[in-house]
Amino acid sequence: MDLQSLLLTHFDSGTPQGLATVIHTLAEPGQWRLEASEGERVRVSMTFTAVEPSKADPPDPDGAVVDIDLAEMVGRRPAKPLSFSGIAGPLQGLVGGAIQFGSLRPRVRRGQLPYSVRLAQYARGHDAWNSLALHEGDVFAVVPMRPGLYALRDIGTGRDGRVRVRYPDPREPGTQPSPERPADPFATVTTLACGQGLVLTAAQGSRFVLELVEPDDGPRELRDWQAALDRQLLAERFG
Amino acid sequence: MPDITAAVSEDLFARLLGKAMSARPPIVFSKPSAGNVVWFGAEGKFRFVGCDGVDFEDGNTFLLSELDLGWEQLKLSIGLDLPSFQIGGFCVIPIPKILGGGCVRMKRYTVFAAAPDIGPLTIDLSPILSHIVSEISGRCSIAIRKTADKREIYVTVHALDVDLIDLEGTVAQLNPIMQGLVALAAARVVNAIPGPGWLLDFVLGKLGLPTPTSLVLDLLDIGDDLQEWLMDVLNVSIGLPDLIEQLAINAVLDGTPVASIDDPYMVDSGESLTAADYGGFAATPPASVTIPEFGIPLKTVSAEFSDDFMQVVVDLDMP
Repeated sequence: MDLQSLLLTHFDSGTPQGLATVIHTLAEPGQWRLEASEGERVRVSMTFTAVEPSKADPPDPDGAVVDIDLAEMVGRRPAKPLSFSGIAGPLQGLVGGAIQFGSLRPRVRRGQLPYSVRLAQYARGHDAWNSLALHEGDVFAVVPMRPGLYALRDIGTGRDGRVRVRYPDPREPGTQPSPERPADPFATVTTLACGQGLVLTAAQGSRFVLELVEPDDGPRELRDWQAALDRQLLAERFG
Repeated sequence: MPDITAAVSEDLFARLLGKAMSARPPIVFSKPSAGNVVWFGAEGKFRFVGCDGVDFEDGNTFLLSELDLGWEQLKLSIGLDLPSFQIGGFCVIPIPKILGGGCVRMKRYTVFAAAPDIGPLTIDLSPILSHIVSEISGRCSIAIRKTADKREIYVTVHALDVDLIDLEGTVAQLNPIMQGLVALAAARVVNAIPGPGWLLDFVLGKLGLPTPTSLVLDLLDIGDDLQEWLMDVLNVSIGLPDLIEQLAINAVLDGTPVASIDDPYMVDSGESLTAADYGGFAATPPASVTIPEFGIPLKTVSAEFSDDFMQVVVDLDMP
């Protein structure tokens, strides 16, 4: 198993990767350059078009979500920006639907940087949208697996908070709870079970960073308890 | 009137059959592992070592009461297909109904997607081969066939029944074999999650068991009686009796010659001619001439059961 997605301890809505995703709702029709960048360097540029949903066609929930894995997109397309042709590109979303960014396989090797993404106007002007500064209502969802205490910071608004991931004690198995959606994640410490999701809603200009500050390696007596249980089970079966 | 008649008792027939079966090369098989949560497979080698008894019936059939197998090799392969589960995949935000409803879903990571995830692991049952008892019974018949230089009495199979595999006596050696299997499987579970301890604990919690050893014992369903567990694996999970039955029919019993008669039938009179018995030679002949062995072609050969004997009747093709 490739475990890198599960071992991340740093998450950034500006460069979503691993078990982290950024979702932007498409508010208006248009055509943009969708660019994935590694630091300052644009790695791939594609045409993205948002169109009004057709009243004639039956609604298609799959068509309402454009799910882009940035690493896959970079791997498949050339680095040279595609010229604007006036013709809708292969990526198309619906107004009112969503476009979702992330990279399930994180870039963690030495020298690699994770990808940020933006929707840039073809005409001159500012970016229509940029993962480094989210729009109000954008959503950042993350599953921090490593047990411990995390620092949560919104670089855009300057707010700080704490998130705690509980140690997964196998003596206390339980069903996976639904994701936490704190109304104000900076007001109190948000506590998650290991494997539970956290969903944050952005203010204008938000950029969420979640970073492990105190790892939790579990109760000290757990290993002794597990060893004693194994001895007992083996003695019962094999004498 | 037939030229030659022989009567073969049930006891002699059983010994001839056992000897013919024992002379055949060992049967080798390999059954790949398959299953759901636990995958079982086997490879092995056995031979037939003797026949304890037959019972002749009317109509040229006979009941085979005990044909014994001797195991030369038996290895089990065991794989574990751990239940897969997902991390993430939850609904983050809903999609408006006007666009079809549904959800924008979180990325998902699937744990234990392979099949099987652990193994196959091999356990060698060589230390207990002598304790594995396998017997075949069934109904067969005899027939005659002609080869280039023989007439053969051979066996054909009507139906076979392979007894359930039994483990004879207390198998003390089974204990360390099974402990080794559990230890190896538990180590492979740990290796399957090559990361820090918290990740293994997370996975164990999702699977509902607190240690790799308890997980393996639960999946393999090993209780207190190891012999019963192994017999269940051999008989039910692997289906060894059915496999042996098919191998016995295909490779051995169908067509094995029990006895044969040379054709032509060689006769050695054991007599010599003495020259003095025949006078009138101009030159001095040798004192005696040995009559050489000669062959007489077989005209017909038949075999049938009558009472407790197999009557073999041969007519020679003599002018």
